[in-house]
Amino acid sequence: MMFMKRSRFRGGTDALSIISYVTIALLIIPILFILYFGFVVYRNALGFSGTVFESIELTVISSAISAFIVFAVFTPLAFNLARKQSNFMETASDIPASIPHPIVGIAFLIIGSPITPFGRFLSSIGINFFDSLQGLIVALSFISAPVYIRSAQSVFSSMNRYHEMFGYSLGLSRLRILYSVVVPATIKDLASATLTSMSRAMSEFGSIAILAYYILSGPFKGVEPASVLIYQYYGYYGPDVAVTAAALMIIVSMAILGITRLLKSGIIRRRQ
Amino acid sequence: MIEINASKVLGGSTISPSISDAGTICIYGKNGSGKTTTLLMICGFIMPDSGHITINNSDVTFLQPQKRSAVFINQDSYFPNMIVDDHLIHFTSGKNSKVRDVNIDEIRNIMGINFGGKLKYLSMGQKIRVSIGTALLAGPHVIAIHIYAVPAH
Repeated sequence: MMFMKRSRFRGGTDALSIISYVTIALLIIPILFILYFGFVVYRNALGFSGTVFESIELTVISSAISAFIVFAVFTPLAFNLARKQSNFMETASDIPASIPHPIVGIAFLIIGSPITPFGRFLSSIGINFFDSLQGLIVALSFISAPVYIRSAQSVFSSMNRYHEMFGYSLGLSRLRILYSVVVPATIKDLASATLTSMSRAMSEFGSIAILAYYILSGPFKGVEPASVLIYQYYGYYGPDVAVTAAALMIIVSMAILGITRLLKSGIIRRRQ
Repeated sequence: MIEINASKVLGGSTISPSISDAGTICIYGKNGSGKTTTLLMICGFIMPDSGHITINNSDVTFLQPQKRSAVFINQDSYFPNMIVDDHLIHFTSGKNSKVRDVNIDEIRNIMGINFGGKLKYLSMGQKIRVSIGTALLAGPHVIAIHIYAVPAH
């Protein structure tokens, strides 16, 4: 019975299912309203302009880069948290998710400014956080890191530890085991966690409204991140244009979530 | 040569293995008698509450598993995404490897490893053969093989 597929249990709708449907509806209905109002009621040509598409492109690319950075930088921490209890590290890794995000923007503004030695050092090697692609990516990496760390930690916690124990007893270091055994064995799960953190980065507003309201140089010169542009359009034009642009952004976000879901369902099928 | 004279309290019962022997040692007993715990203590994955463990006259009681030269093998002791050949040779250059110039074909023949592919796609028996072959090539002082067996009634 333990190995029966989930579909075998489909037979009726109980109270728990009804509560689940209602609560899922609470999450979906606002999104459906935005899509309906954006594409039907408030449909506005400015919402489909090149500016909006450039803005969405900037958001997708910067979020993808930040997600890759988060994967590369925070995988060892997630593995360590999954194997060794550390209240300090657990708490510290949650900090970016628990503070108001405008504060994150202000913090990076100060860190990267010439008033700090570190900021002067960054300037000397050509790194500038304020209104730059670098600043945008740093802020997105910072705020999406906890999402990735928690997902990856859960992946590592659920894997069979005898594979690692074999490696330890053969004399391998923890870092070598991570990269030669654990990451290859969980790469699809980690890719899914990375995409989840990318989705989180795409939805960011608070920190980047302060740190990178628009990009002043490089390939995205003069372009604003989508969340900032939508906020700006709302102020300038009211809901018409903003809601149309928001509906477009939702479609892109849904596509990323859809890919994540497909990846996860593929992983689940493989395990069954 | 293994000497273990230690005790460990687990779930309300005390396990106190006492072994002083060399060569091939067989540990058997009822469920819950502490066979697995003893192997894990030898390999460094469980610390004893008291006593000592020595391997070839070196006290390894408080050494990390990586530094004991004692390989723990059970049905899950393999690296799922590696192919058989990589799995066998991956550890021969490790710090603890004592068999650097061994003929891998010889180990293949001894262990009956006449198959290939990723470990995760092999049968349990094939995986264990590769695990033991890998351990032999790494050349540890101890290979602790944990085998599940359910007696027929």
